[in-house]
Amino acid sequence: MVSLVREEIIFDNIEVESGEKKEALQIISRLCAKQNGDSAGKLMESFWKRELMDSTGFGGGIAIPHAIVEGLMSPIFAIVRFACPVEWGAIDGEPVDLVMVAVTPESMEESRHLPMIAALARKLMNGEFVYRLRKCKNKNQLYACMLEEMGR
Amino acid sequence: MKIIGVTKCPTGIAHTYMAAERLELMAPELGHEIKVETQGSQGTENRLSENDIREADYVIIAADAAIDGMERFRGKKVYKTPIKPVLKNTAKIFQEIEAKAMVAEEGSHTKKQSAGKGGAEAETELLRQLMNGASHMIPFVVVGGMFLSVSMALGESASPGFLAVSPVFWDKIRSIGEMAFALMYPVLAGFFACAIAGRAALAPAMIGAMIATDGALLGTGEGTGFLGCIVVGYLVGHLVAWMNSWKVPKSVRPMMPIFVIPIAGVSMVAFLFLCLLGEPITFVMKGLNQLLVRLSASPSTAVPLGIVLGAMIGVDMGGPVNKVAFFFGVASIAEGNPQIMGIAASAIAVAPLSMGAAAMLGKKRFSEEEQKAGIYTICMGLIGISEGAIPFATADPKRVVPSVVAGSAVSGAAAAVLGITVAAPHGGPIVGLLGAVNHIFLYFLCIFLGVSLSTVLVLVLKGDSPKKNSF
Repeated sequence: MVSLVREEIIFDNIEVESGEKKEALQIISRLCAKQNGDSAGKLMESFWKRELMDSTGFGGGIAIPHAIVEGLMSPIFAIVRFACPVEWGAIDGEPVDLVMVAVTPESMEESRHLPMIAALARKLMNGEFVYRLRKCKNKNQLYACMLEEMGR
Repeated sequence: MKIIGVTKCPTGIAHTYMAAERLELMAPELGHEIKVETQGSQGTENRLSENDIREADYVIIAADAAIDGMERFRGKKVYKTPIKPVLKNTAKIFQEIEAKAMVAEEGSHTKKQSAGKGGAEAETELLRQLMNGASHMIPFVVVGGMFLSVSMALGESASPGFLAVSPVFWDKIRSIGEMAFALMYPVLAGFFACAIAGRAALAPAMIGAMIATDGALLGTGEGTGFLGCIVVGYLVGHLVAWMNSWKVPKSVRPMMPIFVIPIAGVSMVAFLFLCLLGEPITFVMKGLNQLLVRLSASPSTAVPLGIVLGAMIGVDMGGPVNKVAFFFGVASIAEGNPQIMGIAASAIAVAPLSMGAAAMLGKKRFSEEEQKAGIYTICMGLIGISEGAIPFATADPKRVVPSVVAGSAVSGAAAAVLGITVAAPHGGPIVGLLGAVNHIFLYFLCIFLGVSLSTVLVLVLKGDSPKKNSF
């Protein structure tokens, strides 16, 4: 099984000019689409639908936009850090600068990474892990920190 | 406090687990014990057991979508919340729980519907509880029935040959069979009560059943049999459920299931049966037995009996109506009337055998899947699994169900007239091969009659209709 965390799915220092969630998600959709050849528009639509239900910003400047997308080529996981925090409508009202993206196809056989996403979602409730994640200065440190936490 | 929870969000990828984690982290800090079931896109994990639910003081439902299995929590104090407040301020959830939790209504889903529907629900609930007892009992009846019938068949014939073991041996086999029969009453009452009120009801109901079936103790000559056991199970179940609802100081609570409930429960049941219920139930039970014997003795009454039981077996192929008729047969074995089981056993195989045969004979009239399922369905029929015919019935109920009912009724009637007895609580040709039937060829004949009728009927009814099933 391919591990969830790979270097090429971490994107650091991403500029969001408007500082708005919509643009941020459009950028994220394009980054993800480039990864596995899916349509950025379709991804954007799914992310937006989920955000309309309720913001995925769960506090502490982190958000986890996610979606189930019909006919997705392969599951997507990505870590995106913005150059400047983006207004996300998070439950604590704080802007978001760190985003964990998870998109999963509808069919069950393709959703093997879901247990790892679930484990990650649980770990994000752990203040100490979030603190270490926050302290990372660059992409390499983010990668190392994620590997250390998820690799085990 | 003991708290249980269920989390569920619309996508089931992240928030389900985040909320669960928050609850699990916060609870011990506040001195609570917690277990949280997650209903996510990977399915349900960390599922709450019946025991977890029974022991919990509060239930937290943190969900942005309707959860599965809400009916499990009826009668519990339930606090429903969306996921967001859990992530925002988990401690607050626990602070609010006592004030905001509401007791989930009995059958909370049906609350807004008409009272009539609620009654039907209660009825199926009662049937489910009773079936819990019956299904636990069946292996005991199987052992008892097989050992008894084998010991009688082989022990009596005691002819020289390789089976000529001493009669003492067969006596021992028979004693073992009788032991199994003696155990089945407590098991029936015990697990019936258990389904109503949980484990604490097991001991009082089992002991109660022993009392209720001991004719010498009751002073009624014969025991109260099955009827008595069902009454015991019901009474003890509801008595214990009521005792469980008492507000007991925490220090006494561990004493309840091991000390207070069993002793009070047994005393109560013993009193009721010795002084009040023993005699009338014995009387009814005797009457019922005699009625059955008389009904099955003369052909003019045996035929309607066979038709009704056979039709019940066929009508829902393993559903509740079938189970009622089947249970009737099982009860009759133990009461010494195995001809009732003979009716049920003959009818049981009709549905799958005839559908399998029809699918193989009249290929054009069945869908491709049905044709492929033909052989497999016949195998199910041979080992007495009525459920094998369900796919056929659901695909084309208007034609399949009447055919099956007619054939099953004919099998039942034939078995009643021919006086077939089956000593094992199971159906289909297999019980004949295992030696639990008195006249194996007549038994097969009964099955054959019903199967032929059903097969021909379903083929005629389906006519030249195309392969696709029209409703």
